[in-house]
Amino acid sequence: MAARKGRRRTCETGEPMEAESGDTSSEGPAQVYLPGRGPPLREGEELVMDEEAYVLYHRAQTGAPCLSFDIVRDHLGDNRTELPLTLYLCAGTQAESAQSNRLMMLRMHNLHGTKPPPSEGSDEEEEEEDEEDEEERKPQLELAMVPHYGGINRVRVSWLGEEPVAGVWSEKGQVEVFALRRLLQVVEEPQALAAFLRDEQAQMKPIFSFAGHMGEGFALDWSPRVTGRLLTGDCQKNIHLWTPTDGGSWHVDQRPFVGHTRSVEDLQWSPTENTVFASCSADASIRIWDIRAAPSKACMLTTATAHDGDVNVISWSRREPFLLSGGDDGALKIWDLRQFKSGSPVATFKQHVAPVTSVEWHPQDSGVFAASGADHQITQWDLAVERDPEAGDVEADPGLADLPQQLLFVHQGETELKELHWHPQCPGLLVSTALSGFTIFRTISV
Amino acid sequence: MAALGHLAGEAAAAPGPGTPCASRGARLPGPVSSARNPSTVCLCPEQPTCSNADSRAHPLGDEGGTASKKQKNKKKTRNRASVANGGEKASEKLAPEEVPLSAEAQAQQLAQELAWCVEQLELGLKRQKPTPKQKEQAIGAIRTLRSKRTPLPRKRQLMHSLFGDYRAQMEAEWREALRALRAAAYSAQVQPVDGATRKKSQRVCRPRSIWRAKATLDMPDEEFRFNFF
Repeated sequence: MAARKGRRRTCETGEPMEAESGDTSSEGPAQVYLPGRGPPLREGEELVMDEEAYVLYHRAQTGAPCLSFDIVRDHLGDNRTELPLTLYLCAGTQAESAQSNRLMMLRMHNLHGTKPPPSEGSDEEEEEEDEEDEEERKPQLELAMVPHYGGINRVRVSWLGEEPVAGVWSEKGQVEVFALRRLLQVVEEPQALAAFLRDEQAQMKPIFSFAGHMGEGFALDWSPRVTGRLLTGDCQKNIHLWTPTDGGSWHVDQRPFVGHTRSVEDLQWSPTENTVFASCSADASIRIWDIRAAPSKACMLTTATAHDGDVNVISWSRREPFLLSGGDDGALKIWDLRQFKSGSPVATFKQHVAPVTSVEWHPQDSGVFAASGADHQITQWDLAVERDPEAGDVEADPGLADLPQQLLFVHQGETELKELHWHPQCPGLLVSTALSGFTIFRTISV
Repeated sequence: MAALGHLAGEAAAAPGPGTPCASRGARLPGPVSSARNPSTVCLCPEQPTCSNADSRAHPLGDEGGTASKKQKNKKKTRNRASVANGGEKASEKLAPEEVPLSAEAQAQQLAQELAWCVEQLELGLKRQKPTPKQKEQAIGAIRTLRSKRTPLPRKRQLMHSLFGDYRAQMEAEWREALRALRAAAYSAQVQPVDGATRKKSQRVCRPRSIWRAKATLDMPDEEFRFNFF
């Protein structure tokens, strides 16, 4: 719990300092400190933490920053909670020079939790064991990359039967599909990785490319219900449907879905209907479409002013009829699709004080979601939480009383957060990308 | 960037309007010593193409790191306009010189060459603190290279006068990128976050068990469908 306490301590940089010694007196009650809200920290005032909030927390650096990534479903099983963890990510870089960009496959393994291992034995023996333990607990990262011309705006992974592929939106205006099988092989074996770097890396090419968009874009989603079906949306407001063909290729309908008046920022297929998808746009609208209609008439429902400005991201719950959206206005909104025509969200949260950059429902826990913003915050929420006045519950910390009870966790520590995803097979595990690299963490809240 | 310095020595001369762009990809015989001033004054200010180029080039002339208001700043790199050109898309890496190129491959290579030159000019503007005159010339060059109305021979001439053998430089950059690619596979790392940093990262924390029990979501019995048809 972050609590603000007044203390007489000089801090030249104005940064909060850890309390280790010194004056124990305090002024006034402790208050929760939230960036962007309330008064800034005064001189001598600092943040005081009490308990361990993270079950697991790691950071990874891979070179040029990544704007987008996806988590690759693996064969290690579902519902993994036993530590240490292993995970696979597919990410795209955003380097200064077009020729310096890469599509990356990362395997992170031996990710231990924050609890120190229990130690036994005498002091002397203990010290020796600690050194061994530290080496054994060191997390590992294997990385395989292929060159990519142009910065990568978005990456989304899908399995076409037994074949993993990535859809890649290039800033140069084309969307490509890359086969990932070889990259997954080489991050498993050091010997294979060495041979790959020497012989194959420079030659890897996409298995399909579409250059029919009129400019670059960011919106891309594989159908969860029809293998190989893909949607791509661009900054010129067009959306194209990709249909897989028998030969392992795609037919991309040249006629775009028409309706948005500005950049299509995100889109997502329905989890329950094969032909329905949602999109959001810089024109402030959220739209629901059905691909069975002609492209010029496929827009079935529109909420014209879903946010005060650009709608940046959406997430469609796999378990309930709820759509989550995040906008340039910093707001998070929950839309009940059964009442979408009403044009009113069923909930709005204004925790973020800068544009929302990513939102995602938890893949298993109903009503739980996470969001990231340009205010350098990641927030975790649970819609199922509601204070019961009959039970006489009291917040453990008075400072939290002013916050929405649905707000479970606020995380800070990275700048320019761009994208986050829950791991679909490791409950509660959240991965995010920012200017400084990747963060992998799990909190006690989810 | 040496090219910007080279620009400063150019004599000022306004060329006449060019003919529509020829599509041939033939390479000019070599740098032309009598290259005209690339900083072209736009003679058709009302033309949509010119105004479009103006709006795209304009943010590069600003001092400081102000991002363009016209383009959503979703990227991590500041002040970098996209060089995506609707009519010219590149989907392949540099093609080896020895292999004869199809017409499509030639078009792609041309698009990449143009994009590379624009990229170099933009990086130069960002990194090298050019003089106002150099800045003006670079922005003019970017406008010319992006223009759909400038004939290709003129673009080639400009690229040569600015960069010399730009293909060799692109090839060298590509090879350097490959070397960096191989090295990066071994330098990437993941590490646990220490206790002090963990404490700084946590701003609000509600332990799960206290609140989760009071589930009140309206759980539908059936999956929701729009059933539009």
